[in-house]
Amino acid sequence: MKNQGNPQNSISTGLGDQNRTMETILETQGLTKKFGGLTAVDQVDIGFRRGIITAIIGPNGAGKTTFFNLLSGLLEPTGGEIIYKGEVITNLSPEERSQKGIARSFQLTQIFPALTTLENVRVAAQSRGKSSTTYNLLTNAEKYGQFTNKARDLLKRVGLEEEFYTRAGNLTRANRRKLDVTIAFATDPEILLLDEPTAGMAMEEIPEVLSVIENLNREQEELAIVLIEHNMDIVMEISDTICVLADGKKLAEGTSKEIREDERVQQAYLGALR
Amino acid sequence: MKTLERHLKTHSSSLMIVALFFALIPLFSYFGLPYSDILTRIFIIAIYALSFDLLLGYTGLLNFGQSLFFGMGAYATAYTLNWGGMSFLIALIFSAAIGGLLGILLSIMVKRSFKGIPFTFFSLAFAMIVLSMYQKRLFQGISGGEGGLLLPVPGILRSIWALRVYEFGFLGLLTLALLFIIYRSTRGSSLYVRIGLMVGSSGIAAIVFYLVAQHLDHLAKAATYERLIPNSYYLALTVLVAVYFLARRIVSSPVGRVWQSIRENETRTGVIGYNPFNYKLMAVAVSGAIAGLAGGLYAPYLLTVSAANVFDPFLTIKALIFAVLGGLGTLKGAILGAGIILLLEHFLNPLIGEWTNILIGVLFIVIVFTMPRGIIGELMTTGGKSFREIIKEMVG
Amino acid sequence: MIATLASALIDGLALSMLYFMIASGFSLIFGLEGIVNFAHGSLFMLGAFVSYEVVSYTGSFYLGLAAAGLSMAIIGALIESGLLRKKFGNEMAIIMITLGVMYVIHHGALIRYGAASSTYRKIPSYLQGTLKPGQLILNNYQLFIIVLGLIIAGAVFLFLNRTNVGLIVRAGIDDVDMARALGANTRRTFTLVFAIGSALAGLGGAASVGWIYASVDLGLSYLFFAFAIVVIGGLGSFKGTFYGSLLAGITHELFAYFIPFLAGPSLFILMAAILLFKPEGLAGGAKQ
Ligand SMILES: Nc1ncnc2c1ncn2[C@@H]1O[C@H](COP(=O)(O)OP(=O)(O)OP(=O)(O)O)[C@@H](O)[C@H]1O
Ligand SMILES: [Mg+2]
Repeated sequence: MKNQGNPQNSISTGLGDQNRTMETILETQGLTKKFGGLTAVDQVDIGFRRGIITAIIGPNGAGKTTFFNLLSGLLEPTGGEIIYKGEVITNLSPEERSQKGIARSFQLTQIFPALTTLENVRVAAQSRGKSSTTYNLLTNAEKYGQFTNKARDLLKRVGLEEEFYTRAGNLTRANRRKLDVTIAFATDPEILLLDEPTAGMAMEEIPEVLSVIENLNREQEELAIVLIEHNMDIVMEISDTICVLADGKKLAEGTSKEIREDERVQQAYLGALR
Repeated sequence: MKTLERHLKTHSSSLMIVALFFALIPLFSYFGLPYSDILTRIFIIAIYALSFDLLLGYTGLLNFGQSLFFGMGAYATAYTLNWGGMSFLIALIFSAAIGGLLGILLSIMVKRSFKGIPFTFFSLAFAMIVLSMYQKRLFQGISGGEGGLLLPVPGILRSIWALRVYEFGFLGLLTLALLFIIYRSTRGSSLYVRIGLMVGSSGIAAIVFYLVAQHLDHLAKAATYERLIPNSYYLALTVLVAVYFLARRIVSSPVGRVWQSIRENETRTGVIGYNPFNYKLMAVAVSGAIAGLAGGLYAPYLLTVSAANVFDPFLTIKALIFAVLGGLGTLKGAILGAGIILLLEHFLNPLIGEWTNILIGVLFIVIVFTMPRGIIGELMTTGGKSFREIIKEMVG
Repeated sequence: MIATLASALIDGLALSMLYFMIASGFSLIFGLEGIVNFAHGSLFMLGAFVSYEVVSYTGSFYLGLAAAGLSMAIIGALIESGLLRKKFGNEMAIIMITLGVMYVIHHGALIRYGAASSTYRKIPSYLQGTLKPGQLILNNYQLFIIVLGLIIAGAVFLFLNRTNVGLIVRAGIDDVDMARALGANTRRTFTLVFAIGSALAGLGGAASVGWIYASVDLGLSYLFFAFAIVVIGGLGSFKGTFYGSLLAGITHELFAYFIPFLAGPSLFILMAAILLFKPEGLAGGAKQ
């Protein structure tokens, strides 16, 4: 099933690809988060399906990042449930969710600045080791070559092969963001939550990152990708489904065409932007 | 021979040479009791400083109650030697165990505030809870009160045989380690070179052993009092070297790597699937065990263990300056820092008395402004290049 | 019984006020600037000795108090602007610097005064006697400390709640960026708060001499007390510090009068209880 037909085609929308499983992997029911008087996420019901790229868009302060923080367990919801593969995970810790296959990147990059770029990704890959590995105190970590190799491969794919031994904190802003995304890849996710992976990048660097995401989507048919993105061109080009958040509420959901034509969306979001 | 150069540049060989140096100096006749005394103290305190660096430098946790582990380790040894009449080695195991257990207990108690400044507050609070008990009359039975607990000099530190075991064991181990390094690092060069080098160094070792044996016979005729010190001297040196290599192994293990990622970014460490609490607990426990071990070694060195001499709050503060002066997160730095400051104290105290401490206080501040990464840290990073990059360039 | 209880309470309140004077500055500085000032106890001790010197020389008790507060304010401002400011935001550096200052003050005081303790009796006569309402016997000096402490607490409270600078300080405790957004000259505010905190420590030290004594050991002990009270009250909370001081001081004296062997560890027993059952502290922890 891999790379069916002309790979160029799948760049538009994956929706035509009938072989995708389309099973919902993660869904929220009435998910709500209040910060004092402010309701940042308000009664949101969304489902994310395997094999497709879902984009979440919405104006600044719409609650997108907060929504990701709820999904990844960094914030406790005020109400509602999060269901992952049929299991309620609302009360699990971030590490338990990660171990189940939920990975995320951060809008404000979260890397390990004083470690080398390679070690940043290696330690993420190592998290998938058996507990006899991850709790091993007495063996040099380099002995587990599979993690180092995986880290090298992933870094090559995002074009960071020159930077293996650079202190991660010394990377350029764009490269730090790539690294942040690579750290998330390295944990073998089943669902990958990307919070503005192209923010702060120069125009010419964006296609590179996008192609990495598209390749992932193509190669790993079971992987669900959720993308928060401000750049509408990117959103329209890359995503299969779009979900619009505004003031914490889900405003609309559908294909790029449906979203473009939705009046409320135009009013609330597109209108404001254009 | 390129690989040999590289091996000499890496730390194990240079450390070996330093250790060998310290193994041999007591054999020189002018090296009297006072020197082995201060050096023994330095070795023991360096182990303690190492435990501090392991926690602060690698996991980013500043435990202001670290002296609790040290002090309880010392008391544990005093108890085992006094009440159980057991051997010193068992006492040391108890010391490390009590340090580790207290570390676990502390971790559980501070579970909800296990980072940054709150941890510093709570670790100090935790230590003070125990310390305040040891300082009270009520607990004189366990603390030994003002006078402290007197403890017997363990047999192992008294016997001449033990001395020989330490000296020969230590020299033997070092020789084996050197041979191993030569063997590994000359891989690729011709067989004759390898054999030649190894035979040559074995020969040198044999000569050294012979001289040592001669010298010992000579010493054996001298006063027995002096025997006590070199025994604990060698024991402390052996333990320091062992703990250093163990610590180095630990920080490069999977767990050690996770410690570093927690230090760098705890949130992200959780999000990639590690339970930060478990790892921090391990860090505090391992560091506590090493501090306890150091305390255990310190007890017979002191001869009496009292709350005042093993729970010294300034000991924690000094451990901090040792680690920061030498370079946080380098392990070697903690040892170097302990050596420099303690020697400074040793030599300056008779000359300028209390002013020494004022000098050290000023040194704290000056270091922060001039060498924020410490001596080893500054050596390892020059001009924004990492140590690794420099090595890579040198090796080609 | 009632009489003993009253004395215990008065002594407890007086001790609370000493605790408050050391801990409030410590807590303010920590809350606003995130600085753990390890030299804070040393300023208390230095304040005690300054007042000791001034009182011995001039014979004026109040001059001693004023001199202690003023000189510590100056020293605090110098520490903040001369040493700490350049390393702002670097927690490790700040800790090292304040430890260095503590080291210097502690050992400097040892050189000057030795390990023994000194005290004076030159307090005004009306502070020396006792009040005897009914069967009670109350020490005037302890009452004086209580009044002084309450005045200081009131003044700091008004400062925080009624002045512009206080507003900035409170905003800064919540969020330093927010304080900047208020257009605050945060630098000058920081120096001011550091000076005020140091002055409080100095005053506390000076006030303690007439009751306890001046000794080099005070520095470390009171640093630990400040730590403990901030833990009990809640990190960074001013109100918490006040309640924490009251609880700690009164508990200590009640134990001292009725169950003496528990008096010493009482502070730490309280701390253990807090750690176990309410780690955010009495005030619920304004800032973690
Ligand atoms: N920890 C927090 N405490 C209080 N309010 C918060 C917190 N995090 C977010 N908010 C508020 O919640 C709202 C939603 O913020 P969020 O970061 O989720 O928006 P966003 O959609 O990701 O915006 P952007 O496009 O700018 O990234 C904002 O008004 C923000 O100020
Ligand atoms: Mg956002």
